[in-house]
Amino acid sequence: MTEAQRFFECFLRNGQAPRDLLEAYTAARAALRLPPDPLTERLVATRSDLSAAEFVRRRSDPRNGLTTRALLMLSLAEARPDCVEAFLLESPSVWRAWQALAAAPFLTAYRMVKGKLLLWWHGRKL
Amino acid sequence: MDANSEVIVVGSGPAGAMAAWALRGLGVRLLDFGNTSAGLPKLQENLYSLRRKTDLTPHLIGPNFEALRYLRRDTPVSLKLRAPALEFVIRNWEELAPLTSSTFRPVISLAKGGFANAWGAGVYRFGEDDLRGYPIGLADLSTHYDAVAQHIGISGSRDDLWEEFGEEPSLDPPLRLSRNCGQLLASYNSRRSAWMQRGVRFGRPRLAVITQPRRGREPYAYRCLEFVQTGDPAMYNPAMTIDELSRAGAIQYEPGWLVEKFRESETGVEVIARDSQNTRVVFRSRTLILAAGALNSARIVLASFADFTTRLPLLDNPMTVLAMFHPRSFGTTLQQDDPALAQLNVVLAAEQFGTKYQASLYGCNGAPMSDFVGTLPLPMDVSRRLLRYLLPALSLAIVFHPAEPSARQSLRLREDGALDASYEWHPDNRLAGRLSTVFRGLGTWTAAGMAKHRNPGEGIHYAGTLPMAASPGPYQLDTAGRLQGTRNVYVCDGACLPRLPAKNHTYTVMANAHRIATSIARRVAR
Repeated sequence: MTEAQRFFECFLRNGQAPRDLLEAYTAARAALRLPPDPLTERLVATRSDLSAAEFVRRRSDPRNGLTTRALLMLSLAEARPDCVEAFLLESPSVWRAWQALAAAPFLTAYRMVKGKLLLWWHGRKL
Repeated sequence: MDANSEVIVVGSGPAGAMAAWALRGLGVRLLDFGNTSAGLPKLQENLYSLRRKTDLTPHLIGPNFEALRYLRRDTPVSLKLRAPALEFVIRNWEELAPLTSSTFRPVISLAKGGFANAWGAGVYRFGEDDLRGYPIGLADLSTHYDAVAQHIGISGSRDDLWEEFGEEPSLDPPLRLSRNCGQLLASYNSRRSAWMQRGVRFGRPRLAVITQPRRGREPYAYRCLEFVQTGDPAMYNPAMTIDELSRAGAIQYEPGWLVEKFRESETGVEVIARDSQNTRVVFRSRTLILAAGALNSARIVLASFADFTTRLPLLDNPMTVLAMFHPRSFGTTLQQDDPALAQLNVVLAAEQFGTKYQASLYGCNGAPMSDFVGTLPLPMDVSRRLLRYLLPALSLAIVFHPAEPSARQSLRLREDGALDASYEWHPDNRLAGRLSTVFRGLGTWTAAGMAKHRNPGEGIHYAGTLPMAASPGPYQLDTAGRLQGTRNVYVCDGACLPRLPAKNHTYTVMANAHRIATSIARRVAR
């Protein structure tokens, strides 16, 4: 399981990411010389919920390594036609929109608790 | 290398282009650093059609991931300056034209055409009230506004803001209105007189964007590419004027030169410039016109007098951005041919709001969604899913605050060549409350807490460093734009403006540059 694949699963969709997207992520990481982030590496290695951990980390440090990597993956994916549906609504869906809005606070609260636990658990092992 | 000319113009932004235009055919040499786009092929289709069928990584991210470099920066980079084809607009400025400050966050352009490569194209005439404190009046500028309008082409409409934005002899029809702004305008029009009594007036923006063919330029094609590339022939760019004049042999355009300083001699002015290899060259002319932008013109003037102590005044229109939500558009699809340009303007009257404010309304078209995902207080995957429904229903009102000179806003040249700026500004927090009340009254959902005040410098409306004055003192200009204490050195960019109303100042900078250069042209022609 590569870091890029795990970010794709946590921030875009389940399933295998396109190979050239994974390669682009690796190349971009190297080109931008992102400093190593042991916590991210540990979260990836343990297949933890990166979205939950990122959310909690972003609240205290908006420029942390996990957030930077998530934005990197999202930016690269947004430029590709095979990921367009993750960013653009192809047909109107008012009912689903209100459903998503109603669910957002519950998902956020759940991720907050989960993220705090993940950071506490993995943080103490670093 | 030693070169002589009648007039040297420094800088190719809106002021430099208008000065060169007014002086065309009179022996003008235009010195410019002149960064240009990296040469990516131009996209010719709508952004969203392309996104469905083409890998846009080269255009949105860049072969060397240029658009993602902001992830490693401590200071934010405007969305409009991140795309690989727009990166040239601010390329090299931190090495070649450095500025340090903890309170002022500017960017400087060394590009051919300057910041107008990535501008919003808003062109609004200053009225008599806006020119309060200026040593010139509207009568001095009117014919020059007309000349600039004739040259660049402007679209807009005769509506409730006609008087506020000034009489234009001719306008192209305005751009198509988006669904959200159309609903907002309809809501305003249904109770128009009540809103006007409350000091609120809405209207269409004036844009330097043509909607009808003009002098070989194609009208606006609704491709929504404003965040991706520059050079849309429908949108005026000073580089067009420079190219036109160069092709006609009416000016000599010399890119690759960073002007450092000048010195006056018996016969005229010597201009010292260096190229990217640090080779210094002296250019000679009878007259020098500085149009390098308010910050760089100030740098050149201070360096010329080796003055590292004087603090010059500094102005910028700080910005407040208020997000609003159009509930009827929630869950609909994005209108993909809406322009990523101002759709509507609202002016809040000084009598009711303390100070007159102007806000421009934008949709969220064209900008990458990834840039919004991390800004919501939600987990990113939740935020991404929600934004698919939310973006078609979002508008942003961008308000420019007026700026008056103050001892707390200043600029100094350091001995190492960097500018040192300080800017103290405290937003009027009541504005967001008042503005959100207006927009709620028109059927949108918003709250004062959704307003974000941007740092001074992020407005990119720099001005006032070498202001015009009726009785100019040191580092001030007379009404003809001549620098006090010099015989043949003029300044014609935003540095001239002694104060900034809550309005985009580019059109006034252009008209004033045309005014100053026209008077120099008369003298040169004699």
